[in-house]
Amino acid sequence: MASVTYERAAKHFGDVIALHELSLEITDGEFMVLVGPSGSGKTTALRLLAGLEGLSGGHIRIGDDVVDDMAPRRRDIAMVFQDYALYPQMSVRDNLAFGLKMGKVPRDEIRRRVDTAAEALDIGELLGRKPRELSGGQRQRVALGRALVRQPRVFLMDEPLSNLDAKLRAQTRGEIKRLQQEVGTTTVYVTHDQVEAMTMGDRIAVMSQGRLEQVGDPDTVYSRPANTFVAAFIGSPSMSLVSMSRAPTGVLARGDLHLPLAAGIEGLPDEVTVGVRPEFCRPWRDGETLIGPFEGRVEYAEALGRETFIGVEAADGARFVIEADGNVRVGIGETVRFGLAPGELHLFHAVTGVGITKV
Amino acid sequence: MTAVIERAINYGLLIFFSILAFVPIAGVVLTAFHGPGEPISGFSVPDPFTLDSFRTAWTEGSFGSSLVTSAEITVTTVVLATVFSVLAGYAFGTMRFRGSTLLFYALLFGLLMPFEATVIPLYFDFRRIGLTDTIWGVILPSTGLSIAFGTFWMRAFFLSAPRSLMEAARIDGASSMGVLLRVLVPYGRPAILTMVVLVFMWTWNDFLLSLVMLSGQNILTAPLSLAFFQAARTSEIQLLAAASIIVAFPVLIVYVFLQRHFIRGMVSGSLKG
Repeated sequence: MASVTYERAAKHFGDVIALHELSLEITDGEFMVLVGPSGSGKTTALRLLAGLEGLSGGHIRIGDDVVDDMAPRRRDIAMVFQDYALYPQMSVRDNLAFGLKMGKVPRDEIRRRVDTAAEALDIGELLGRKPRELSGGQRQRVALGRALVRQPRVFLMDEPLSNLDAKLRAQTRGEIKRLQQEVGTTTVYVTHDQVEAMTMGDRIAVMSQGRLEQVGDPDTVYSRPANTFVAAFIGSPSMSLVSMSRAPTGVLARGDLHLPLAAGIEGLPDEVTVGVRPEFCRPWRDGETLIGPFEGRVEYAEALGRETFIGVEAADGARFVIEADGNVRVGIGETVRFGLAPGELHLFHAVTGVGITKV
Repeated sequence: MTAVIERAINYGLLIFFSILAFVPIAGVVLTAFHGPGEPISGFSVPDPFTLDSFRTAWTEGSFGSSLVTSAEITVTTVVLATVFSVLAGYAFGTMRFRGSTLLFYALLFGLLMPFEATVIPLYFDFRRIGLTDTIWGVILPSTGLSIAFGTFWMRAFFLSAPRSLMEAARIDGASSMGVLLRVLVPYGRPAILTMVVLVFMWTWNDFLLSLVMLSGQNILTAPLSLAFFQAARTSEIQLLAAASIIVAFPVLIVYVFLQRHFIRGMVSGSLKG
């Protein structure tokens, strides 16, 4: 087990910069999730760590070793691939044992480790089969097992759940997390799914266009997003972002929409983006301590049973998503009244998108 | 209804072309089973079936030694060409190195160049270094020709092999050679065996190269001795038919043994394993 350190690690493919100087410290035993849309550089960061791509600049360390020029097989890492990459002509047992055989582990030890891993993953029955005889979920478990038996310093996982159906994905999410906690191996996990990031990561690193946007524990990233990209990317449905202007009276305004927020905040620019998560944008009820009321025309309503998300267009084209409890029936085009929870509004710089404060 | 008609047309066409391909072969086989000296006109069923023509052709054409020579040449060529093609295709298909494109085009040029254009200069070169009238005089050029094709073929296979498979093996601790031998070669068995069948067939059936290189008539390959036999026995077609079958038989055997892989290799581009 070991820590992992990216020191201004960069990767260029010709003129394309896949990864700007990434600096990130992953502590020993930590479950770090790299999350971002496609093209964000998260997979490049992982492949650099694996040694499957060479660095264009900077350094990567695993523990105390600088691994910049070290061959993948000398890095003592194990990787789970999106397509699992099981060796098609080998049985499940041989797939699991392959890395250990390469590492000249004694035969008895191999057998013991493979059996232990097979038991932990409940694939003991499958050891004699070939990969093509397995279902997608079973292949996924074998791929996990192949990483597990190696007992490496670091686990690397490249979107390992994206080929599973929704139910199996949710189930396996918990299982990977449990296994990782049991063995305590440092894990770098790449995904584009913010739910996976939020539920699995000890910390998550949000990336976009080759840059690290924010790193922190899921709660911090969710409740204190560093910028509008993170604010919009993390959370489902996304945070509503509305650009507003500062009026001389200390309110933020957009058309008829007035928020009495700007008073007392130093250095607030004239143009800001206000962000509010759906759970803090509630249907208006008299007597509640919400800022409002505001009116909006319903654009869509998603009733999920336990809650209903209502997308509205308020004054001057400002869009909000309202979360209402239970199953609420509203027609498209109807006007609803809503309010915003004080203390839960995020202010971002309108031009740079950088977070300023939360009011 | 249209489905039925379509099926009927498909079957009709397939049967027609099968007959087209099969009739000449059947003609040769039937002819060969006539006894030597029997008068034959056109397509006749032998009465009785006899192997006498095969026996006569075998002894008089001395196909025994020429088959051995052909086997030596072909097996050596296939082994050398396969080893080098797999290695070169692996490099071209999976590794980035300086000059790889240029080298690959140089190799392709070998494929495009008509062999007839080079065989005569090659003969003089080989005569100078004393390789004419030896089996190496045939093995080396045919290996060279086969490597050009084989590298092209194996490169295409390695390009289509899943990258993550190689990467997984590298991370699991395999060296470049380990990745090739333990993961890619077993995975690519259909492609490799297809190449083996093709190279075997081409080398076995080669005529021009052995005619030029083995001009002394001390060593003969099977197709060469068939040609000489044919020149001497133009009128006895049952002997010629028997000799043709003797010479073609080894290719048939190899194909039958490897045909399952051969077909998989031919279609592997369009099917996902």
